[in-house]
Amino acid sequence: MIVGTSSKVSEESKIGADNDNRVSNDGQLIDEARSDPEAFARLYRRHYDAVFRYCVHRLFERQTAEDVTSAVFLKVVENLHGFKGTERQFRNWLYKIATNTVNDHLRKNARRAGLLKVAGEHADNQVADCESAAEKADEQMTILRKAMLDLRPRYQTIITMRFFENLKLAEIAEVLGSSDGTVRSQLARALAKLRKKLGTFQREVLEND
Amino acid sequence: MTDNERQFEDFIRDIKFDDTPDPTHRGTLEQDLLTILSKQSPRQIEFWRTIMKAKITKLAAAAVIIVAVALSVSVLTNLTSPAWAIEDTAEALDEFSGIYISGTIAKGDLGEGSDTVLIGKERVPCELWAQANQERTGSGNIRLDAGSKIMVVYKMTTYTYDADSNRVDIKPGQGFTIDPWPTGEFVLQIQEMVKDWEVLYGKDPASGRDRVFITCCYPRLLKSYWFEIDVETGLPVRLKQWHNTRRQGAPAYDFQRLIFFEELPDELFEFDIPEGTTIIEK
Repeated sequence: MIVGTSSKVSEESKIGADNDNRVSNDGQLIDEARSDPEAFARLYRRHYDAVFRYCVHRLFERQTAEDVTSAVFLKVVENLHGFKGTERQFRNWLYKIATNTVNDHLRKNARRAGLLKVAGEHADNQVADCESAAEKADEQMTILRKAMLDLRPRYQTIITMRFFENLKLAEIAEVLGSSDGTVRSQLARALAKLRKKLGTFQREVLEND
Repeated sequence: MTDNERQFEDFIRDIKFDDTPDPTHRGTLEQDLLTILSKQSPRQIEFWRTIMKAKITKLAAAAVIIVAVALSVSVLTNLTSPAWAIEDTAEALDEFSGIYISGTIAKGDLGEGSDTVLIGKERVPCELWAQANQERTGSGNIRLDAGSKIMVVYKMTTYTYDADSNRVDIKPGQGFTIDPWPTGEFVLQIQEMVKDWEVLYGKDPASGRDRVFITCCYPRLLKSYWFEIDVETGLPVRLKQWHNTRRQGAPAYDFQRLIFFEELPDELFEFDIPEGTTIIEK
């Protein structure tokens, strides 16, 4: 479940690298992790990368993503004893916790407007100096961030899971507790809205040039 | 899928994030979590397993589950409840300019503006259709059927019909409105102003759809509210309002159906004056 591929072929970067592997091996480890700290540490290492990446893909910011990742795993520690389910359900459980924690962060800090404003100013500032290919990529990311954070949280979640987490529609439906058809139609609407917002923000940037 | 749509999806998919995990943070967090785990009594973790093994406890637990299902509302922690945020509702509301509401209203003096507990009041079935005005600041055309009375505002003329007296009063202007219109912005502002905001998660027993149940009160207006919101659409589906701050007694308004429309046609609000009615034009 990696967006893109990592060039680091180290033992640590293999952890969490293969989504199917995570799912098929978690069952026994989950049981052990409830009472064995070493087992919990193994479970944590298996899932940390995926949770962190999901938070980055939702929040577009590493520092905040690290903070939210910490909050997610704290909730896992506090509630693992109450989790009962299969390996696949554990992964879905983690996604739900991460989704709710990200949404809580966005809501409680009441910073959606602030983030958009900052992102907009950041975009304006960046665009003003944008010349190289790398800077152009930065500009695109900033505009995408602004557009994504302007969507309703559910749409953000579905687009992130589909395009940045590479989950299938059926898997997204499982995580969100919806039907495949509902996710499909919401994804279509989300993309249409995102496309419209990107167009709007892109035009604003060009007008400010 | 059109070529444009495919290209757009490819564009999104190709976006690269700086998402390589930092080993320092991973390691530090692991240590913090293990510290927390070590402070938790191992007996605490075992405790729940032990009590669940006892046969009688399992039966009691099963009974709790059955009762929860029968009540059709299971109180889940918001840890794994379906993701919903007030912003979902705010954004959903901005997509619609028409609304249909049906339910009941308590008859007689509803105690608007005073701390009133309604008990034993006769209830009147009601239906309301409303279309937002162009600016979405309030309603434009609106129609309310409540018991023997019909009130319609159509193209800035108000018709008030009373079947009991077989009379219709016609006046220029908007005799009644929904003001302000429930926009997303309004909902977000309201959430900031109300008190005792509580959220429960559950399911609609008929459809199995995920629902959010919200209660709150507005002390300044001496009102309290109960909302049911459909998680998937983000839209409210049921609503109750009390004219006291404690949701005490019968609600003044009990709306069991809320349906939203992108737009309602003008023709829906044309009022055909019944034959033989006394018409009073003011």
